[in-house]
Amino acid sequence: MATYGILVTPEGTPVKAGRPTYDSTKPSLLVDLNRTPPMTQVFTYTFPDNPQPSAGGTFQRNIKTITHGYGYYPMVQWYGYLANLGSASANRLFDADTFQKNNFQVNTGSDFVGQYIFCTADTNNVYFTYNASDIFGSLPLPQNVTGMAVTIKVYIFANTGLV
Amino acid sequence: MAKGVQIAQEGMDVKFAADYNMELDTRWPVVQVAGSGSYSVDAQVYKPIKVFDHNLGFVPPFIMTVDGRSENTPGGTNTHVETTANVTAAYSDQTSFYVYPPATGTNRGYFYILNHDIMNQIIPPTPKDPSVATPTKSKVGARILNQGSTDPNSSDMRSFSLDTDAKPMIIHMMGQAIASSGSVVITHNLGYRPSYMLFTATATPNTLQEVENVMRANGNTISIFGAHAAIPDGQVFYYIILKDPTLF
Repeated sequence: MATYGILVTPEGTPVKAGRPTYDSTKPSLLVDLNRTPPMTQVFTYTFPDNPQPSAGGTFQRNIKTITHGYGYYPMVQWYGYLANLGSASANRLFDADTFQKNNFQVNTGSDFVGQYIFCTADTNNVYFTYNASDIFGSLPLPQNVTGMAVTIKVYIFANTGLV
Repeated sequence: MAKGVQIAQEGMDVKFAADYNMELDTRWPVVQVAGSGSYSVDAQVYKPIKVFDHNLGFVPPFIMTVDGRSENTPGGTNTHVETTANVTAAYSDQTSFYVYPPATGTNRGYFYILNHDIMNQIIPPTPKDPSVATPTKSKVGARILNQGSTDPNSSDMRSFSLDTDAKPMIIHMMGQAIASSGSVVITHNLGYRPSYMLFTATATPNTLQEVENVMRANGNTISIFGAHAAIPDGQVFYYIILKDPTLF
């Protein structure tokens, strides 16, 4: 390690043995706890309708914007839970315990549609967007999202996510 | 604990803080970064492009983003960075980090190589009751500067390796799970559905690749499913279970 710093190892483990629990020479992924709005938060989006893309086209809707104000692109990680099935058909992708990371598929896995929630960020905001694409012109989409509720937990790290 | 170091988040009484309210605790590793940087890969013959040498001697996990200005990203906007895009088009091995090129255009992004040998299992002690202590406004705390940073009063949190005003990611457990009967079940016993990182491995060469399978979780287990089909029996997953509830 550097000529100065802090190295913490698990109880009973010599410092020189490696595998530290904390090493001050290494950066950490940190979520600032003193910002408003919170940089880690949970929100739920309930679909009020069942928007359809045009044949062969794509429909997108912003479902949440969180202002971080860092002035740089932050690293973001997020998790999505299905909170309410709404009008969608029950299957293994859709039940109360289902969750996904950094992407939330809103269909059964068919390659003929692209129904999912994705996340982007710029230097001031983080955006969550619902995307419905009719990839091969095979409308209608198989999942009616009316009433579907997705609960999302997001971490907006005070770490660079893009330069 | 018999001895060791515990530092709680600002305003949290260390005696009553939940495990996920800790900044530093001798019992568990903090997620730390061995290296980071940006990459830019132009369209070319589809083969992995080495974008970073970490030289750790073990196969590290990683997280990454993809520039939305790149081709082939869902957002496709001109100003955004994606968290969703095709992260499976990257992998790490014992020396380097690789990204696959796009079919057209240029793929750009940013990555963090994590300083953890995910193939070394971490078995957690029994978690503390997950109830949350009531935070109080405190005028005390701790900050540890990153190497090369010199201002302990900086308002840019990127200057710090540890800050009691900030939440680090703390590892509850880490290890390997093998698919059986079409799925994988990991028992964590945290009492809440936790955040996680998930990777698949190949034996030859020895690599890690992030996956974003569909999961189910409860207070005791995480189950991994295939989005399109059952997971082949014998497929190996490596996981990091974090000490943080995904929902309160």
